[in-house]
Amino acid sequence: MPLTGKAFAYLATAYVFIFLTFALRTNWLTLFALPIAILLFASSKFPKTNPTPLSITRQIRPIRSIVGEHVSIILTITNTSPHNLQSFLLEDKIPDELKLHNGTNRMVLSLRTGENATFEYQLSSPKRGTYSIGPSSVHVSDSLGLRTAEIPFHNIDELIVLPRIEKLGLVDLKGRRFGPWPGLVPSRRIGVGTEFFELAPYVAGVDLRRVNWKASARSGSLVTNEFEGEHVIDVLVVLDCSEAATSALFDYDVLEFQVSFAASLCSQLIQQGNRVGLSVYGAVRTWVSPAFGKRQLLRLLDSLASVRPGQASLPIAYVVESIVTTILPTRSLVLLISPMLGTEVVDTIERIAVRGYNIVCFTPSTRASHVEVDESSDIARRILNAERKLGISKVRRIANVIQLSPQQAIRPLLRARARWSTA
Amino acid sequence: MEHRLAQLMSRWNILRIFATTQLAATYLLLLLLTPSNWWTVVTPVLILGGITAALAAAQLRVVWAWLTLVLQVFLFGVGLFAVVSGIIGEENVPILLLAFTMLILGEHVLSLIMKYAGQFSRPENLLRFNLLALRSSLDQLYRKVGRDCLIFSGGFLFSLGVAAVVTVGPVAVLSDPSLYAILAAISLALLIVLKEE
Repeated sequence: MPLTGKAFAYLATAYVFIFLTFALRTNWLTLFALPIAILLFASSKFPKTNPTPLSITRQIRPIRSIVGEHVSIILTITNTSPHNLQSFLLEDKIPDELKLHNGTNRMVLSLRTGENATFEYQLSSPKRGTYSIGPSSVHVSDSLGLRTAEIPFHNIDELIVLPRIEKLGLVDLKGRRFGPWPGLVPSRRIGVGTEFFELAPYVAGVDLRRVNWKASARSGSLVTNEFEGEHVIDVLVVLDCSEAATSALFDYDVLEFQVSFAASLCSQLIQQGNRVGLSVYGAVRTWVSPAFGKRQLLRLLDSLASVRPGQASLPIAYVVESIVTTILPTRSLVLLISPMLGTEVVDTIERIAVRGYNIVCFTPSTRASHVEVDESSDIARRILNAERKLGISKVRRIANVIQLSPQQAIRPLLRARARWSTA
Repeated sequence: MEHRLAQLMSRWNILRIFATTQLAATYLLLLLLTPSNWWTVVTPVLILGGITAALAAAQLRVVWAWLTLVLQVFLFGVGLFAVVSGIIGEENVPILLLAFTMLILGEHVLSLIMKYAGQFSRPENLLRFNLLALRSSLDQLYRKVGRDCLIFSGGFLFSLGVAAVVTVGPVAVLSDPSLYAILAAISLALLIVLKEE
């Protein structure tokens, strides 16, 4: 076991006294080194604890949490050795980003043979992400704390902190390609739905409740109401988290805003019964093929939790185009969330549109910043903003563009822009 | 359950009171070693030391423990200087030795208690552990503090014994065999500690 700082301090003190003895020619000063010598002797006499036969289990509740939610970590330690283990410090390592809310992740324990101890602490995360909890480690030291050793246990668990989800309300979509399953998107074809579509001659077997009696009286033959079929559609949410997401043009955390919006959008679209997929372009490139259901939502949110900004090794046009064409049938809906900085994004949108996809772009709005900047930075910012506006105006010709702001509630904004997608 | 928790808390507080008392006693001893005409200089340090010692025992934070140690070392340095320079007599060496032992014991006890602070310092934290584990760890802490106090006392008494046996006076330092005995003791202790690695 290596010596601790305390042991070195003791030794240094002892030798300081011996040095003073020689320097001041006062022999009684050596007496002060004696208690330290006794401590060093005593320290080597006491047996050390060997904590390797410990069993440590960790429970994380819930394993998936959302930003700001408290997560309980419960550790159970069992002494599986035939000896009693005395005074060892158990520490459960937690990432610096996580905040210890209640309890402690360090505990000094003494366990008899077969005895177990349980302790709990609570964490909260101010930011979404995937965090490693652990490993646990046991610190053993001699009785006087002059020598210490750390024994790590390889028990690492993963905690996924999902992005915050805002309730968007009913998202009114309009599509061009519909799945065979009933849903909420009007298909402009006769089918099962709630919106009146047209009148049709009565066919035997049709439910009498669908007969339009007034129209039948006018035409002299039975006429029935036909409704517009409502189906599900395939949607791919494309999230651009390239370097642009960290641009100084925005004076708020655009990345988190975009991730949170993507999560809200995925949640709402899944809730409405659509097949939803995800493609993330950033330092970590991921994609999730379109599918239905709660499990798919978890897959999407897990993917969004691990988003990191940064330039990917491949260009955005290649990545997004290849993913879109691989996992999404043509004429499906692509929802692109991007800061729209640079010409690459605009090119990407044009290329996807040419392939027949229906595109809606969401872009975070910029605001006049109150931050004092020098003249050159201000000019650079203005040029960047002008380029961005130009890019957005180009995109508007081929796709619907909706600007979002963290100051503005998204729900009413989306309501005002009902039926986003251009047919 | 509540009764057991209260019992644990009171046992924990007894340890903290012990640490505070021990720190206060050290200050008192150091004050005894300070020449009376220096008291005006030393009194503010003592007041500050009292406050930091109380805060160290109450809050169990490293910063207060360090401050307490620094102030005690300063006062010990004053006492040592007073004896070495002959302002007070060499008959005060045993008191100085006791103050030194208590100084390092105080630091040791405080650091020991601080290791347990996470689990005992806040009553709401107690509910997050199983009581049996808490009780056994507190029992162990009591045993440790008791045993370590005995070791430190042994160290002091042994030093005192050595002081009584060997001649403490103005003899030529290099010809004093006790010095070599002490040097050998320190070296041997160091050797044993390093061999353990």
